Amino acid sequence: MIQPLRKFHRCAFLLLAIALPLFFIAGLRARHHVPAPKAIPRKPVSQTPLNGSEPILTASDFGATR
Amino acid sequence: MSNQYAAIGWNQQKRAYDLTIAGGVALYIGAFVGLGAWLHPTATAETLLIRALGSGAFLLLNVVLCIGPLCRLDPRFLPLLYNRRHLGVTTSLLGLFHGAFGLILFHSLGDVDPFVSLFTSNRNFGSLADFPFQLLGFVALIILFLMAATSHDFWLRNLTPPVWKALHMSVYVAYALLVAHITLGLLQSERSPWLAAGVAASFLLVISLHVAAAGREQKVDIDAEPLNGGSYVVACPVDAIQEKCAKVVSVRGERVAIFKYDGKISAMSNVCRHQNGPLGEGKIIDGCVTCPWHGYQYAPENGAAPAPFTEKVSTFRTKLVDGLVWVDPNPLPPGTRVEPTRIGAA
Repeated sequence: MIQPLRKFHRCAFLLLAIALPLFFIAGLRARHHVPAPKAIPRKPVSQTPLNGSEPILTASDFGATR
Repeated sequence: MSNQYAAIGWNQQKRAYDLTIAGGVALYIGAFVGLGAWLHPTATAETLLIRALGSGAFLLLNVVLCIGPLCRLDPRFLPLLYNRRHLGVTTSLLGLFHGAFGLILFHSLGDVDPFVSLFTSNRNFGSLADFPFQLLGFVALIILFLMAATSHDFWLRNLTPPVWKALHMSVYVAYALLVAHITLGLLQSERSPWLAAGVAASFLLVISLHVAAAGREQKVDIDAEPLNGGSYVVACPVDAIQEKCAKVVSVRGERVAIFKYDGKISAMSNVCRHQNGPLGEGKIIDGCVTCPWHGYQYAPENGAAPAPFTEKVSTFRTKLVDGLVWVDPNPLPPGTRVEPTRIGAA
C-alpha cells in the first residue's frame, strides 16, 4: 500500500527538480527592465542677454528646421 | 505509542523542542525587523513584519522538507524528525500571519471585500512579471493550513496512515506554489542577486536531498525473485544482518524488515502503523522492534504492540538455508505469530 506513494514521491520530486529551476529562471528573466536614467544633453535654448532684456528666440529653438 | 487520544502528549523533549522553535522564530523576526529598519530606514514597520513572517515561513518549510531525506541518508538526524509536525504547524502559523497582514495592508483599505479584492484586483494571468502572485501564496496557505489541522494523531488514525500520508504529500504542491509566489512577487521588485541566489539555493538543496535519498532507496526496491519456482525468495546472507537490527528487502513490491536477535530471525512489514515509518531502520529495544521515527514498538515474533497498545503489522515466514535467509513473500495477517527461525539450528 505504501509502495505507490513512494513511487509517486520520486516522480513528484523528479518533476520538481526539472520544473522549479526552469520556472525560477523564466520568472527572473521576465522581470520588467527599468532603464537607468541617462543624463539628457542640454543645449542652451536661447542666448540670454546680459542686459536683462527679453531673450531673442529663433525658429530652431522650437524644433523647426528648414 | 498511544492507546488514547491526547491533545499533545507533553514530555521533556517536546517542551525543549517547542521552546527552541518559539525562541528561534522570535529571534528571527526580531533580527529581521531590527536589521531591516537599520539598513532600510524608509521601509515601514508593516512591510518589514510581513516580510519577516513570510521569509520565516519559507525558511522553516525548507527545514521541514530537508529533515525527511536527511534522516534517510544519515540516522543522526532522526531526533529532528520526532517532532517535525510541530515545525510544520509553526510554518503554517507564520504563513497565516503573513497572509493576514498582507490582506489587511493591501486589500482591506478600499470599499471592496478583502477576499474579493485578492481575487479580482489583478487579472494579469498571461504575464509572468505582473502575475497575481498573491493567489499562489493563498492556495499554498490553504494547503499548509489543512495539513496543520490534520497533523494530530486523531486524524492520522481516522484517515488511516496511507490516506493521511497521501494528503500530507500535498506539501510538495504547496512548496512549488510558494517558490512561484516568491519568484513572481518579491523577486520582481527586489533585484538583489543575493536574494535570488538564496531562494535558488534553498529549493535546490531541498530537491537535491530528496533526489539523493530516493536514489539510495531505489536500490532497496529491487524485488527479490523466487528461485526454481518455489514460493520463498532469497533475502540476504544471515551475516549481513547486525544483531538487534534489520535488513530490508523488497518482495512483491513491498518492503520486509528481517530482524536478527538473540540467535533468531523474524520478519515483519517494514511499515509502521503510526506514520508508515521504516521499522527496518529501527532497532530491537527491550525485546521489541522500535520504530526510529516515534518509538512505536512491536514484538518481533507476532508484529503486535505490547499491551495496552493495539497496533499490529504483518509478519512473514522465514527459513535459513546454507547461511542465507529466505522469506515467504505472502504476508500473514497483522499480529500473526510466526515461530522465529533459529540461527544455530540451520
